[in-house]
Amino acid sequence: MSAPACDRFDRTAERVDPATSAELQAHAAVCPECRARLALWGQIAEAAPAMRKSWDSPELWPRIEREMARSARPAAPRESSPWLRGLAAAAVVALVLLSAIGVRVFRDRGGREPLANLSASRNALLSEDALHDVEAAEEVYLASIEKLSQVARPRLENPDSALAAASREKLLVLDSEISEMRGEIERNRFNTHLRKELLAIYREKQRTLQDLMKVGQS
Amino acid sequence: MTALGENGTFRGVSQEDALADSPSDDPAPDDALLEAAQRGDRSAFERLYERHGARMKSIAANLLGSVSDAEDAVQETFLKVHRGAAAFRGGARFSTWVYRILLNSCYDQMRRRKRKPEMELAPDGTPAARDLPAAAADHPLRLELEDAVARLGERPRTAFLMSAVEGFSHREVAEVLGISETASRSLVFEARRELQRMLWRGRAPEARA
Repeated sequence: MSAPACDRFDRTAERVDPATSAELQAHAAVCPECRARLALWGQIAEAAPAMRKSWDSPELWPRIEREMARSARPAAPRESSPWLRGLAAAAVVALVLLSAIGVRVFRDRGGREPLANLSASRNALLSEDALHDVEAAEEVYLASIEKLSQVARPRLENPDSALAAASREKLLVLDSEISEMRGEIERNRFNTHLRKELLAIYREKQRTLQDLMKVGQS
Repeated sequence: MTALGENGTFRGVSQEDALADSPSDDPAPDDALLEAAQRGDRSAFERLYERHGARMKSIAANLLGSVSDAEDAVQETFLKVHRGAAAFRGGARFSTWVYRILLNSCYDQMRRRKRKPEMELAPDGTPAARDLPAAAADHPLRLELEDAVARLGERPRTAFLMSAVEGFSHREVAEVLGISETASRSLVFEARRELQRMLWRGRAPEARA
């Protein structure tokens, strides 16, 4: 491997065009190491299609279909044992406690994102009022995102760039997830985990809208 | 001597639109099937699955390394498509949308796994993706290449898998990833260059020349 020629081989290989390709190949013809590296470059391209995976999944589509049917049906009330009902009640108490902590933290911070920084909470409340406060705070947060959506709507309806088109598709997916999560929360209002997940999706929506607007202004 | 690909593309891999409708005998375009699905025609969804499912499983398996995780990602994608179909108003191709959802599902799974590393220790009895036989003719470099690809960053790995492995054009990769075609070319070139470095380092000095 002759150093100056091999260094040039490395640099020019960064961006190969037909003219330099001929030059590289001429060098590789007289340099065994560069010839081997050039061969490896080609072998990567040859081996890549062999990475395609194919296997039978006879159960997959029926499984997807069942889930589709299940998600289309309203949730049916289920019978549960007294032991399970007791456990559920205990879980509800724990979740109400968490919600109350979240509300307190939210109030202390004067912020707009309830349930952030749970570990910093103290003097937790335990009441239905706590949940009411969380829901009220969420409404304020959602209203501000909705306003942002209205501002971004013209760009989303007539996407003029790859980013705008990508943002629109991403927002569709996020809205679908929001709708699903709200359905879950409707069935389990005290579940703080679900509420945190929902807020995370809203934050992602907010970021997506803000990125879109930033690009629109630049 | 091996020919170099131009501008980071791959010779021998089709750069036709891999996302183009109907590679099979099914004449209905994706959009028509989606419209039928939006009207509640469940069989239209099944035809979309038959059309895209195999490639989706392959991409997910190469990203996640596990057959069952790949199937979960495909299932999650179709459920999201099912829920979002009514709101999808076109403007982008169905296939672009569905592959974007798939990639997001795969990235989500990878992030969840990072948060819960113990999950990786629990074998689920299904084969790892690398143990599956190659779909096309196998290549002696495949296993080594798969190990190297798994060590690439998220974006170059995705671009390499879509372009070099699955045969998507740079235009299609760009649409799905929400980047420019030039950026797609750069990502794939960067991936290939890094793979070459990794594979070269892994070779014994006597095997190099």
